[in-house]
Amino acid sequence: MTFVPNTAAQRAEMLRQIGVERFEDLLVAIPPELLMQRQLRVPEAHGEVELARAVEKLNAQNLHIPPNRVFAGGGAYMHHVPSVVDELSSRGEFYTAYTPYQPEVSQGYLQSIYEYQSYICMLTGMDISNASGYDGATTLADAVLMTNYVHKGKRSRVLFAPFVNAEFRNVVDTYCIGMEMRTEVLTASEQGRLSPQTLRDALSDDVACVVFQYPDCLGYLDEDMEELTAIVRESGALCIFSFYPFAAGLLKTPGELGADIVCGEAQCFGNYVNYGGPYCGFLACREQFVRVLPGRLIGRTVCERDGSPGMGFVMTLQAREQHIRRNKAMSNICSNQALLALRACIYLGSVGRNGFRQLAALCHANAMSAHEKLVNITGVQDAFPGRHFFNEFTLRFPSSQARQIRQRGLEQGMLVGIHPLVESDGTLNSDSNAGMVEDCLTFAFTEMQDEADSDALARLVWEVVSGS
Amino acid sequence: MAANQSRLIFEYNVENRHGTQVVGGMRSGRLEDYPRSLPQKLLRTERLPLPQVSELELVRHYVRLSQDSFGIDTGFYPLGSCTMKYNPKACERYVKHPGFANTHPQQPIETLPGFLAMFANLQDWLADITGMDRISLTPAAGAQGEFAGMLIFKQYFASRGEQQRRVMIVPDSAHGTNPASAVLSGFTVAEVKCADDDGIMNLELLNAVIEKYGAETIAGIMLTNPSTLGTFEKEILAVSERIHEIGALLYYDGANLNALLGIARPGDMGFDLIHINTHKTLSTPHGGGGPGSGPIGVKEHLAPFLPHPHVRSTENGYEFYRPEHSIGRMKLFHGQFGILVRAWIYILLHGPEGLRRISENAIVNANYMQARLKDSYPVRYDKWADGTDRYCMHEFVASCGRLKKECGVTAKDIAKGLLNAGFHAPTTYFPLIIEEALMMEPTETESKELLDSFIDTMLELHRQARVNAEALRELPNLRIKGLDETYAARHIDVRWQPGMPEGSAAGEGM
Repeated sequence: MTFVPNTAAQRAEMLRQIGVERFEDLLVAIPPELLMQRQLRVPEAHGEVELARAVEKLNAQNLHIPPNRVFAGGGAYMHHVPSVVDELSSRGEFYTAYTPYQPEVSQGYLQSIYEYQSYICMLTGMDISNASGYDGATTLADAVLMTNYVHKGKRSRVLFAPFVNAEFRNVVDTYCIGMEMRTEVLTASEQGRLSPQTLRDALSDDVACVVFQYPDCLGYLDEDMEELTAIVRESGALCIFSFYPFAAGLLKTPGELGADIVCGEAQCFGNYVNYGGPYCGFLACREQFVRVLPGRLIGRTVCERDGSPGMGFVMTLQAREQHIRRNKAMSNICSNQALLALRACIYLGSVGRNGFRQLAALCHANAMSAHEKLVNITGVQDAFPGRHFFNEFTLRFPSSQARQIRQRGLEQGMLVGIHPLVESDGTLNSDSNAGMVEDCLTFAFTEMQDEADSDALARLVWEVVSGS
Repeated sequence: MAANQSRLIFEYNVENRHGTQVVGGMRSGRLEDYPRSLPQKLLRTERLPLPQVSELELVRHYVRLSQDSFGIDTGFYPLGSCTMKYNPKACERYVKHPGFANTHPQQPIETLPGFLAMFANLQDWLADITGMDRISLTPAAGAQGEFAGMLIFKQYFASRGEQQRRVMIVPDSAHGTNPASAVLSGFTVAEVKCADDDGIMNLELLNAVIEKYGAETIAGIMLTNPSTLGTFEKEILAVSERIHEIGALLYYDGANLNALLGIARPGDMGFDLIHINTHKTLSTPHGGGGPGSGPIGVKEHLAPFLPHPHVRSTENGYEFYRPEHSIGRMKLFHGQFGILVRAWIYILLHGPEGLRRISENAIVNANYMQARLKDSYPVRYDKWADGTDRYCMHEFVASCGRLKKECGVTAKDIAKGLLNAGFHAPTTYFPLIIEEALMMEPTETESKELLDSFIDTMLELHRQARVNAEALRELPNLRIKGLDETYAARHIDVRWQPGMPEGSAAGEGM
């Protein structure tokens, strides 16, 4: 099957008008030894019937875990995707468009992204949001590089607060190779926190930024965040927050806590978990950093509308970008995640103010309820007792049982927690705080679960821990 | 409405109007108690200004916005170097399979052999299509593939103790991402002016730049082939031989791979590392600017540096692994999974003959347009130095330079005239080396009849330009025009805020 409309007769006519006899005559510039003499080694063409069969066959090999039995997060959260998000974002005018280089015929998409930017500013407490980046980890890396530009390359150290997700940190490390910035993980206190003293000791005039994850990768919230950000600010470094924006339904925004740049993952807003992508990285900052913000930015401007003066939308401040500045650009970003940003935008409008607050409260309620059931099991403890959390928390199990619990879960069709040190490709990631969470699992809850689901989870954990 | 503008979703807000009901009422009864389990200090004090609209209002709002947008499904979109071809609906339908959509990325890969097999298939097929030894699927977009590629070059030279290789050669016709990716990776860019020659890279130009910087400082060269002029880099074998002779590497920007499926392979041309834009060649939708996906391919000597995770075969199937000297992770999890699934489907739909047919027809369509348009819109490089006709590959660059001289009508005027006639415009003012450039890529999925109507419109605009340039700029069919970019940059208004009067632009001089 192909989607080529021209018939053999039309093609012959076109070749005639071009002035060649055969198609091959158009390839004269290609050295003959480079012309392929065989067919490509790919499967024979499938029709839709064979395709449907191939897709079913592929999926039949996999273990399917129902969404309400996924008790894991770690950067991707199993929230419900409302039908209206799929319906609207599936309109061809949206998903078959490209970057709105011609604003006259792209007003609708431009406006959607302007709305998206507005939402991200509300949720983060920042002044300016870009039009999206690849994912929460790459926008974190973008944020770190922004601080390099702010300090004109004079501060090369990047400090991570304890318990920033290891996959996110790995991506930052990769992005730092080119700029030769160095990353360090600060040591956690006995309660798994960052103590003001540890932070003060680590800061110096070569620190570009301190990265906090909020809630941290164990799910915990720090009540003294404002004190920490004030310390960072005093030193002249910038505060970056990697933020789970669903928490904004209940919690103060990072802006209120003292962040300068906020980034994270908008997957949770109307985007499927999709085995890890495509997601939607957001990146927002305080007004004074707009000139170093990478990626596209949509702005409102004046125009002629139906013959009289009006307002419309354009891509703005493009002088920061690669297609204008080339080797002097703030980043190399060209494609972003516009379609996922559009979905996030539709999602937030669809659930609205009360719905969003209700959903955030339900995620928290489900986590609280499951937490109560789990810590009542003899042998199960909080990783750090007394710490507050939003929808994710970490428990400590008797030696080596964490692995068994996960394994038993898979046998029963449940994804039971994630090991805070193991990345999604199964490899172990160790840092200076690793010893504190060795026998732990981090659990996540959303609106997808009900009491029966957390009962099933508690029963499974009890079976393993009690040896039943 | 106070101002003459499109209403924002926030401006539909009615206090306590209900939107989509995600969870039933029975589960929300006791929720009000729960925030009390958190200290007041952590809780938000102000209400979030999210809009409160009905689902129907929301639907009408975004349907209207979609109608104010232009996609391939709307009409012809000849944006050069972007490969705006038809996005098959089957790819969209089957990627929504719950097995793909609802699988959490933290689910252990051992329980997902189907996905591993799909990754491995795609790696093998892309390796054969491009002539490379190993493919990594993880980069998020073409530009991120370039960045990964540049980091691999950097780490490769570091592993050989050749850190002094810091110069990356980039021709003046290159995409802006090329120099930006090189700089982001710590390289210095040496731009080569091919414009005054044939527009392509040749030994003479290459030797001059090597001499200028010193062979031992050169890390490599980034080339797009066919180039952004739509020309096959016919000196490529000599160029790659010379680059390798001095111990440097060749990078292939795959933006224009749609011209080469089953015809020629970058791996055979001597490239050490390539990226592919799946949203171009393999027609995963452009999505209004993204998501893309930018798999990279390498020859064996660079395989140890590939980003992770990477998939390899084992005795019992496949597994994820981290290459020995991996540059690290490029993004979260396992690449743009949903996009890779679409690419996998697209290749299955086409098969070997179908893939070659794509490129053949992309080339025929582009040459047909060039042949019919070049008398009115000259193509700067339409003959080789020896006087023979120069055909384009999948795209070509026409110029409005002559028109501008004759009657002041620019590439931008012609582009807007095309919008007025119901077509999307070509890429304008790129590549930078062509005066008043209109870069056109018709793709293989457009019919001769459609191309004829577009060409006729272009010729009509050309005629109009010469008789009445002012009339051409009237654009009666465009409801919105004259969008002031300078004003936008000076009066930064990039978000709505509560209390903002309708239609106002925010403060000045930010």
